[in-house]
Amino acid sequence: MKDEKQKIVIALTSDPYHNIYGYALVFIRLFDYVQKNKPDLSVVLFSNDGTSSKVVNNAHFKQIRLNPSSKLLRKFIELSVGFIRNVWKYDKHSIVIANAEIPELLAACVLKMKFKRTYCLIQDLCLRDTSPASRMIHSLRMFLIRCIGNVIFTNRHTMNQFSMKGNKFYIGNPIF
Amino acid sequence: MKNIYFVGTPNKEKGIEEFHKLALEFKEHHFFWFCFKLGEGIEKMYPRIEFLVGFDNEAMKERIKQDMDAFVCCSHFEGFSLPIAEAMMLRKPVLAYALDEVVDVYDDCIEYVQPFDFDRMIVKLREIIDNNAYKKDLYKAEQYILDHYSPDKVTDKLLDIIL
Repeated sequence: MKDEKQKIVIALTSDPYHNIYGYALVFIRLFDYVQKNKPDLSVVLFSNDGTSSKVVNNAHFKQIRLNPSSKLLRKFIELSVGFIRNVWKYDKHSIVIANAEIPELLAACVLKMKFKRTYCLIQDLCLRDTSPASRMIHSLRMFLIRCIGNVIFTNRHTMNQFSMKGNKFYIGNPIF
Repeated sequence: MKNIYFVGTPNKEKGIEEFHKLALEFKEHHFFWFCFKLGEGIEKMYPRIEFLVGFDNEAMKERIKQDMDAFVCCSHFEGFSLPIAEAMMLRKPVLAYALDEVVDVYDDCIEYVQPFDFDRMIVKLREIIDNNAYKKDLYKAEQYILDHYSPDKVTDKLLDIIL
């Protein structure tokens, strides 16, 4: 009998340098839990070297080193390129799941060209303030989420509010 | 003296004056307030309030959570509001703004007030911390989180979708 190849799950998240009270930590902890409890899966998580990545110790996870004092746009671009360059070499049947910040969403849109099973995981879609920069980032985020097309939500209310042509799923949020 | 842990930045138009009201009403208690920077003027007025900006100390966060007598979520932008679930897991009373997404997630396991209704918030918070009038079953609230949002349950749902 032919052995089935081990399924590979690749998770992508950016990770702030000065704040641990965000969803990056939950995302990292979720895939840490999956990696440690589902031995039939190979789980690899890519993040930058932010505060949450230092809290979770998992030898299977990989960090892309950035200069924390660089300008935000530069960090965005370096991280997106880092995600794409590191993930592209994996088998095309791998499953890619991006968190909901611009660098991983942008990378996921590009990676979708190779990886048919690409998803993003959304916590909420609130516009925090109405400044032009925030509106622009929000619009870009919506555009990238719609490009990815497979969206996993952590709450039903946000899922019901979000209209899109692709696939919507609900999983809830893990509380550790 | 009780420890009350707040999350949420007072709204500039609607919240700052009400924030003063709340701070004065509960002046005998100790506040931890996680929010964006409110300005030195406000922070100097209330030396007993510990303003927490940009939490990067997991150990300190854990200590505050363990020691709190009540958790108040007055953030008006929420998707899921993880601190509420974390407080429920510790069997702490929770009072939150009745945002559609928060009510959708936590159902009747916590107390709610309408956003910016600080008068009602004061009444509810008094019920929780002062006179043993708080009636919610904190064990039931903890079980609700375990039933719906345990890592095992969420992982199973995730793998059902992606595999």
